Amino acid sequence: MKLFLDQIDVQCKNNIPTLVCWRGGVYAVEHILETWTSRTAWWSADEAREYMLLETTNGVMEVYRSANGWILSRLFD
Amino acid sequence: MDGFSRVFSTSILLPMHYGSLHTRSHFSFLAGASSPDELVAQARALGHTFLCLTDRMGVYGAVRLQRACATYGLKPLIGAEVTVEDAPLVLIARSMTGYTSLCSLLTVAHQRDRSNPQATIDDCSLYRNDLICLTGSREGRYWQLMHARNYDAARQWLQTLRSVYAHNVVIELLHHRRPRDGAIAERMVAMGAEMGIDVCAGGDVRYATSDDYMIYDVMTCTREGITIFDHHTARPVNDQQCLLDYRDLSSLLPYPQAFATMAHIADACSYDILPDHITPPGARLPVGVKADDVLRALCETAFAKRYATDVANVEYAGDLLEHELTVIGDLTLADFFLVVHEVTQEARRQGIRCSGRGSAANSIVAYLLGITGVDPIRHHLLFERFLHRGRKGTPDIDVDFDSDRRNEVITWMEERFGLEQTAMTGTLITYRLRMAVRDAAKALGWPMEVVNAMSKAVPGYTNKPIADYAEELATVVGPSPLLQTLLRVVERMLDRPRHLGLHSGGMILSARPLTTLTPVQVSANAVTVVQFDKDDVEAMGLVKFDVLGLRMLACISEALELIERYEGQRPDVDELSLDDEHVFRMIKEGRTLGVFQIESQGQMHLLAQHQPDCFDDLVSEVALFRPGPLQGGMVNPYVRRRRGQEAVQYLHPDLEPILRDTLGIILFQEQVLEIAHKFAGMSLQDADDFRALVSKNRDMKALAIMRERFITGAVQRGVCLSSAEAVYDKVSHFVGYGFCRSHAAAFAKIVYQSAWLKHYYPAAYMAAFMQHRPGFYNLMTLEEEARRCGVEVLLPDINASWFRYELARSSTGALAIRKPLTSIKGCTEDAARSIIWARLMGAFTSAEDLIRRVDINADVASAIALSGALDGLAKDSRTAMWEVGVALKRKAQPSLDFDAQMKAFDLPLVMEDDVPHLPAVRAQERLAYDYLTHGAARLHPMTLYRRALNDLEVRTIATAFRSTLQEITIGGIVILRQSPPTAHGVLFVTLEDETGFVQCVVQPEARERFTQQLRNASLIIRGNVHAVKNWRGIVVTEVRPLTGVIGGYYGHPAMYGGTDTMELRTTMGMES
Repeated sequence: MKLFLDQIDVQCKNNIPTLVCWRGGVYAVEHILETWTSRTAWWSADEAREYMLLETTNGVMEVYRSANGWILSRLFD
Repeated sequence: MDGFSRVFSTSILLPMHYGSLHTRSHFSFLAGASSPDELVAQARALGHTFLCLTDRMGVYGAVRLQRACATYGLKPLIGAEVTVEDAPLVLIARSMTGYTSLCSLLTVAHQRDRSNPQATIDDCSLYRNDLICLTGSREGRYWQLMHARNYDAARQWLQTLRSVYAHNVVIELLHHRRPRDGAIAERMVAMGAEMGIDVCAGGDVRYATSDDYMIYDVMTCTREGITIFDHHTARPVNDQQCLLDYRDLSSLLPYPQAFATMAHIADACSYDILPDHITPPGARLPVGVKADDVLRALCETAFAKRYATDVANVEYAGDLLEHELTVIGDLTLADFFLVVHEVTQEARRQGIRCSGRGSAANSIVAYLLGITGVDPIRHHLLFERFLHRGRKGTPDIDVDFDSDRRNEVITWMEERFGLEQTAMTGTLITYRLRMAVRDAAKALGWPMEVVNAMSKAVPGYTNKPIADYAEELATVVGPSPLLQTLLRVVERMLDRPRHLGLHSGGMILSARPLTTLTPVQVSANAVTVVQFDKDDVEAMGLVKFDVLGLRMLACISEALELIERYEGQRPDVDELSLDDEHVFRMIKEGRTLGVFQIESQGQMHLLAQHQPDCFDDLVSEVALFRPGPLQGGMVNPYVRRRRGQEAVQYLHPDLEPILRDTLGIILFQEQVLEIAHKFAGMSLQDADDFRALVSKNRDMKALAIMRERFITGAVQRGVCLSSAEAVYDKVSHFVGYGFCRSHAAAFAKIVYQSAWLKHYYPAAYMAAFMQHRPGFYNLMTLEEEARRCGVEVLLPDINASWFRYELARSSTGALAIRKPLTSIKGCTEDAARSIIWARLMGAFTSAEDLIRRVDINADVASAIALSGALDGLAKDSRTAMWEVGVALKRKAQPSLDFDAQMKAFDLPLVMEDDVPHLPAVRAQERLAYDYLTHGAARLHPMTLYRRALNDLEVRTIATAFRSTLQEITIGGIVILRQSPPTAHGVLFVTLEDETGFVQCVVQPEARERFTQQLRNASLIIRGNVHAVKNWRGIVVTEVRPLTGVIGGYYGHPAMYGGTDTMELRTTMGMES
């Protein structure tokens, strides 16, 4: 498992991710393994983060959507 | 029943019942953020049909839940998170039997370990009837095992639970949108299917909506002692532990059977913990005799004694008694009255002084039973303030007992009614402003010194919006971005319960075991306490009897004992004629230091204005000096009218019968009630609610509604609108705490008794007063007062003093007060006991003899020597101290030779040659030793400096009382500083010298100008004399510190919180 905080592009259909674009590669989402919400710094301007654990053609990717777009937080080999 | 899923095996899209089976409210004390009301309202909005409250280790919110559910049309379910062998299970009552099982189990858990209550599996087996067991949420053992994929252990745990609860075990599913919640739920469903155990959608709700998440997080931080910037497993990772609607929860937990089970559980549970009747404790009655008949017989016997010869009142009193007995009978309260009668009779039988107070004194039945000592006919008391047919719940009967012996009464009650049927009422300690700011600031990460400063910057309590304090807080923390967050958090925390406390005296007496109604836990001081406050207790039909401790009663009891022992007679203070002119002269002259309720400077000032001539005046005096009349501006008009300086007027002729005897002024709560009832046409219950609302003056919304009702009611009775509004305004000024007439009358009787004792038996009374200290003056001032009454105060003496303040014949033959050994610093009752125990074998002959015969530590021995208690055995205190030092040293480390010699020749520990010729103790040293070792000097410190003060033209305080000077300069020691909220910034400083004490009034301007000087423990004050009869006040114009004049004297006990300890930095030195 590797930690990242890379900005990525995610294409969705009906709000469900279908493709992940990262570092020049495009990876199809095969399954959404899990979703969860994180909101710890309630006193700051940070919004809640909606996390998704995606099974893609590049392995399992943990992503979340922020105000600045989609972020890849972890990659499981 | 063979499992929930057997019944609901088909999938149901929208179950008959939907709601939360596992819900914490703020009654989980810092582990839940919403009130039952908020939860039920939100549940209703989300389409729930029931709400199951499952607070941690308790059912604290059950009454409020049931009421809220009745309001919103939901079904209430009651359960609790019960810690069983270190992990919580959720247990839900299915019936009243189940509720009893739950209460019993919680009781066992709390009584086993109050700081970490928990049940064992065996306890669960014992109390399992009609309980449904959910496996619990993420803190629960089952969830933890499933999370750790320890499936064998998880199965084993389910088997254990099944062995206790059989088919009533249900696996709780939850999903809070956290990582792996879905996967764990899936595994649980599979295991449930494998083992034939139903699953249900639990919830584990901690707050009503996600908006309350911040409160929950702050509470979690407070509970764990961390800040919001710390990582901690107890802190939630998101705001999803709130109530959800069916659609949301079923999308997270797509298992229809889980919702079917939920619906079935909700359907299966049914009970009502709020009966429509009370359950009074059973009175002791002969077989076949009714409580009403016994009550009537007792009252009629006493009636004949009290009223038969009172021709003027006998008929009215008879009618009133008949009316009261009928109301009591209708409300089935005869047993309750007989039980209270039994308790007070027993107390008196044991010689424990008691006195009914509060609204019970409005009742002729209570008077005839001896529960209260105030004649309601004679004092025109209104029975309806105490009891009427519309009254909800049981009436309050408050009885004060001798505080020294209150525990004996409680012990007797526990024995008489059974330990299982008696317990104290709880009190909810809720967040007030200062505490909320403190906890929130700590959780938000401010350092402790800033937290302390912030909490000091706001008042303890407020009914203003919290935003009004933003500026004060900003001055402490500066421009912090977290300040707004703090304000938001504090606003939401206010009034939420923080923990359960103990009611001051509300003893519950139940006819059946309390665990059928409430868990019973143990307080910090080992008192059993129920999980409900007084309002909830009343709603549950339980009867509470206030057993209060009053130190003044202990003082009167002790004074009577001393009088009997030293003067051979025991006056009957309960049957005094209440009109002794000498007593009233003393009161009018303001010589009331030590007299119950009227010893403060403010009261002395009022006495000078009011000049009470009779007992009714004392009743008014007691009632006048309360926040209600003070803030309502009723004191001065009353006094002027009483003294004939102002005409008596009424806002409306209808008020005259109600306010005639208080000269048109509203003084008592009963008058507020009567005005609402008779003038505004409210029912007695509504009028009583109105009175309570006006007194509390907090709920502005409710007050506005009441105002409308009051005015409309008055207008409907034919009163013109302007008069109705004017009367409402007057009544609404009776805000804050005010007395009911009966309470004032009950207290006035104690005022009179204490004044009578002080006047006729000053030595005994002041000795008892020093023993119990029911007032707020320090010991030095009390000793000075005793001397002013002509009573000598004798020092502690190792051969003459006992445990308590005693009387002794002085050299003149008069009775004097002998200070006890326990008045010496560090001399505990144990130490005093060992000294007296040794003394019974013969008086001590020297300091060395004391050390040899009694095992006391060096600090206590030194204090005894310095106090002067050994002066009769040694040359003086310094020599005694030396001898004690040598003896202690030899006793602790006996050299072999010396020890052998001692044993062989019975030699003393201290030889003559061991004690050198020491300089005599100087007067200044003597004072310092006195203060340090027994809290008061034998001579007022100001005496030593009078010559120097005379040179500076600083007069004695007595001068202010006897001269006609307009301006005076006085010096003295500060014995009191007061700045009550009603004084609007004025500081009252009471100065004392060897001739007396006087109140100095420091206006806000002078207070600001002399801020630094006013901090001194002793002051020179110049000011203008304000004289009212025998009372004097000094309106301060100049302030100087006195310390420069009197040298080493730096402090008085009153400067250090009113205790009899002081900081003494003196050039005199303290040899050790």
